[in-house]
Amino acid sequence: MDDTESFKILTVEWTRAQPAVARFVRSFVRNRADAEDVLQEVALAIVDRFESYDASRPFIAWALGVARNLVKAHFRKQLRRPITADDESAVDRVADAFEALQPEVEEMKEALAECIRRVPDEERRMLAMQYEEDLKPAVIARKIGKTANHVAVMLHRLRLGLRQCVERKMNPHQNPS
Amino acid sequence: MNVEIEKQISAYLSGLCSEEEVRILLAWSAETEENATAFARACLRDELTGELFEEGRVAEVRLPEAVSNSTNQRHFFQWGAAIAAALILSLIGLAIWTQPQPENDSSFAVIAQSVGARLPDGTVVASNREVGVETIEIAGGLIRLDFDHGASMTVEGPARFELRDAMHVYFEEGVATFHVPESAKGFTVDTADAEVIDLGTAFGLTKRGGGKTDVCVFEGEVEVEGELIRAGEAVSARKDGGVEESFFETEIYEKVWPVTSGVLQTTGMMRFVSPGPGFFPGRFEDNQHITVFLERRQVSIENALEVDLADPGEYRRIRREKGPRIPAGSEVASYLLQLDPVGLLDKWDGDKPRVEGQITFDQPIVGLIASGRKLLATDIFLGHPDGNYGDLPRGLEPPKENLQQAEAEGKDVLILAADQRTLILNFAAGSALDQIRVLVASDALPTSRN
Repeated sequence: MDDTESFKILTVEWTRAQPAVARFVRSFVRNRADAEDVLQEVALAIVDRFESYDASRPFIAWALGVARNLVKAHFRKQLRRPITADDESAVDRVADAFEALQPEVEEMKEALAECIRRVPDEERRMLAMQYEEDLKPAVIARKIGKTANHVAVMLHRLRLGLRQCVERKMNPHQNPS
Repeated sequence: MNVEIEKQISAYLSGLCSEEEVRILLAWSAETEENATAFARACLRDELTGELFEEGRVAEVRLPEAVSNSTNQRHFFQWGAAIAAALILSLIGLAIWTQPQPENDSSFAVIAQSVGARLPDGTVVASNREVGVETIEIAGGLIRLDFDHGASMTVEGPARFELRDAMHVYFEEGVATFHVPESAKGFTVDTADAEVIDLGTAFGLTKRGGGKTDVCVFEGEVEVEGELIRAGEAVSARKDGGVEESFFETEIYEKVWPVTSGVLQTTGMMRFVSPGPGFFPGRFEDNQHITVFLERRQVSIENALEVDLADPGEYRRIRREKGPRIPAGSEVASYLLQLDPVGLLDKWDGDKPRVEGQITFDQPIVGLIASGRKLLATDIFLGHPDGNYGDLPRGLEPPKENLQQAEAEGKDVLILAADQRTLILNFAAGSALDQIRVLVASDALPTSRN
């Protein structure tokens, strides 16, 4: 395979895998700017190491493998404590779980969209401030005249409700946990 | 998945976990494949929720202008992700595209309260102003800053300090108290004489020139120039790097500490006492003041809790019938108000001292406990963790046989004002000890009637 062909495959595969890799990175690197940096490092590493990619394996698994190493490297740089075996194991296990969840992501997203549309306006406004505006609970609290703790409690209840709603929609014959 | 873990994951997704809490959560995720999958699902739902709002598929609510115009960091992230993709494309000779970068919201705290505070030019300091990296100087009065990460700092003027970032303050001059929860552990206060690193606690700091900084630890631990200082200890740090033990004296913080503790104002003969080691109510015998203690900051009410009073009004006795209930799941802060006269006065001595005072909290009062039985029953989870409440009669209820007489005399009068935040007390110090436990909302949840 020549370089042009190889880069074409890389482009197609990365375009497909990027959303999943980004979701995985953001799950561990909560600061948006840092997550952006890590994702750029992942993209560069994937280009650098693409020659070593075994095309018989799913690209998403390989890309998540690259990403998990860079998330661990980020932990080593950013944490004020030494990284533990549990930290590394959690990153590995969650990366595996992300890969396993891939087939159901689109269904989950559609179910979630339906569930969010049912949330009353006031609570949905709070969700929008958290997820669309990326505001912290303390900032949301100031804007709506409540305490930060109240907002945190409300967001927890909303997440709980959304989880149960999504589970009901995806598994209509099971009782949600 | 158990309720506590689900709460913890939610706190993590809201950016409210300390590094230690994250470590515990990751250890839980590493335990089993099932745990890791539950954590991954929660994170995935969170990301997908963000994407749905970003794609405009669920945001049918018209947001207020102030909200709509604020920074959209998720969009910023997606732009960053696009750059990552573009970087790859550029390597194979395709075009790079760019988009303008939105401005960052640089504030990380808010001046939550300003009590008579003014700038050096006499301008009044307004409350509710968001602040970021800047130097603040006040000529007098008090201000309370609430940081987004949960810490709060109350400063008494004259004072000057620099907010260097969300976790770092350079304090040049003044008196201040700090409350730093787990989520802000590591919060650092520098002065010309010392570096004070908070390890999850409450402490007071005084810097008044003279080449020394005094630090007094009310709760938890702080590190001063590398030395660990525990609750009930005080040190003076010198400019030459020396740290020496000093007397644990909290009087200097009696104006600022109440504000840090959620009390807006006390008037009359109400005295807010700074916390300290070996707390026990009898220590504060005082004929002149109703003393106020913060007992616990944040208590989650597990089962619906019956209190004596919750509605605004004037009360002359505590009725013995069923009271209102605080719903399970509410979060409250608990304060103890007491009049504990010096020595033991005769209950029906005609020359009883009377003490009047008023206290205003910064959050609504959701319940008052004033009967001895309920005080005793709630000491265990609402009382100060180190408090010794003794076995003296404590409540406000008059003896049954003298009920009418007591009412007629107006022995103890308690008014819960219509703003639901102000309490006015007029106590006669006839009994050995009068106490009221005041429960103030931590999350502004309503009190339901039974």
